[in-house]
Amino acid sequence: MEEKEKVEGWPFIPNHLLMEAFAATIMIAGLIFLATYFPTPLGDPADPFTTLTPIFPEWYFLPLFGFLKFWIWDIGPISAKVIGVLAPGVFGLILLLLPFWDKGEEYHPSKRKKGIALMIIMAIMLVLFSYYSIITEVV
Amino acid sequence: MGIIQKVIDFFDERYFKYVDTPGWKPTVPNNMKDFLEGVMKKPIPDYATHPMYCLGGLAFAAFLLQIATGILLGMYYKPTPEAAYESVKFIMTQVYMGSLIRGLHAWGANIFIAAIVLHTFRVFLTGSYKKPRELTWVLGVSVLGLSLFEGFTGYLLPWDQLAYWATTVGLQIAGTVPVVGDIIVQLLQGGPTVGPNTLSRFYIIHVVLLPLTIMGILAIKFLMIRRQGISGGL
Repeated sequence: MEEKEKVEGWPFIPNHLLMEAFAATIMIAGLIFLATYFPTPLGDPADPFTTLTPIFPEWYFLPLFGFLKFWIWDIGPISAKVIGVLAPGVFGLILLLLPFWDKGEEYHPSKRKKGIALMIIMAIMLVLFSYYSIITEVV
Repeated sequence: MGIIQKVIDFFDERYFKYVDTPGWKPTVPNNMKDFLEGVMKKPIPDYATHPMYCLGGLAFAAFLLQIATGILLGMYYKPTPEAAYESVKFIMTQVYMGSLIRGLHAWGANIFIAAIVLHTFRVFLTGSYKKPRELTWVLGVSVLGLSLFEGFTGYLLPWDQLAYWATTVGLQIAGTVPVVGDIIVQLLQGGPTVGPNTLSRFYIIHVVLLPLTIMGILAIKFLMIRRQGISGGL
C-alpha cells in the first residue's frame, strides 16, 4: 500500500473516463448538428455511360490528388505518373518507420529539432497539395 | 544470441517486462476484485489530462459511433447495383430518422479520420512514439491507413453518380502503381469496369474486413498503452 502512494495523477475510472465522455458528448452533439443542417446528399443513380465531371474526392484524399497533378517530371526511366502514385506510399512508409529514425532520449519539441522539422514539412506538404488540388480542376 | 531470443527481448523490454509507473505491478490478478481495481484505478498522469490527449479517445468514440450507425444503415441497405441506390433513397425518405443516421455515418467518417490525423500529430509533437512505444505508433499509423481505405470503400456504397465515378477514378489511379497495380484493380474491381462485383467486394471490405481488422489492432494497441502508460516527461 505504501508503494502505491508514489503513483501520481487521477484514476482512469471515473475521472479520466468522464473527461473522455465529456469530449465525446460534445463531438456527438456537433455531429447531430452537422447531420441535421448539412444532410448528406444523394445524387443521380450511377450511370456507367455518362461520365461525371468534375469529381471531388473526400478531403482526406486531396493531398494525394494534388501531388498527382503537381508532379509532371519524369525521373530517368520512371514516369511522372508512377512517381505521383508512389509518393503517398513513401510518405506513409516514412510515417510508419518514424520511431526507428527519430530515436534519442528527448521528448520536448524544442529539443527534437530533426523530428519536429520533419513533422512541419509533412504537415505543410499535406496542406499545400490539398490546396493545389482545390485550385486546379479535379479530373 | 539467436535471432529468436532477440525478438523475445525486443517484446519483453517494451511490453512483457515493462513497468511504467513505480509501485504499479502489472501482474495478472488472480481474482476479480484486483482485476477490476487494476482496470479502474490505473492512474492517468497529470500531463495527460491536457485536452490534446483527448484525441485518441475521441477517435475511438467516433469509431464506436460508426459501428452503431453502420449497423443501423445495414438493416436497410442492399449491396447490389439494382437495389443499392433505391435502398439508400428509402433510408433517406422513408425510414424513421434514416437521413439523420446516414448523415451521422457520413459526417462521423470525416470526424473519425480528422481525429486520427490530429491524434497522429499530437503523438508526433510529444515524441510519444519513442522507445518503448514504437509498435504502438506503427499500429496507429496502420489504423490511419485502414480508415482511409474505409472512407474509400464506403464512398461507393450509395451507388450514385459521384460514388461510381469517384471509385472509377480511384481504381484507375491504383492501377498505375507498378507491379501490383493490376492485381489490386482485379481484386477490388472484379471486372473490366466498376460493376456488381466491385459493389459486393467494397461492401464486404467496408463492413466486415476493415472493421474487424481495426478492432483487432485497437485491442492490441490499448493493451500496450495500458502496460506502457501514457508517454510524458516533456
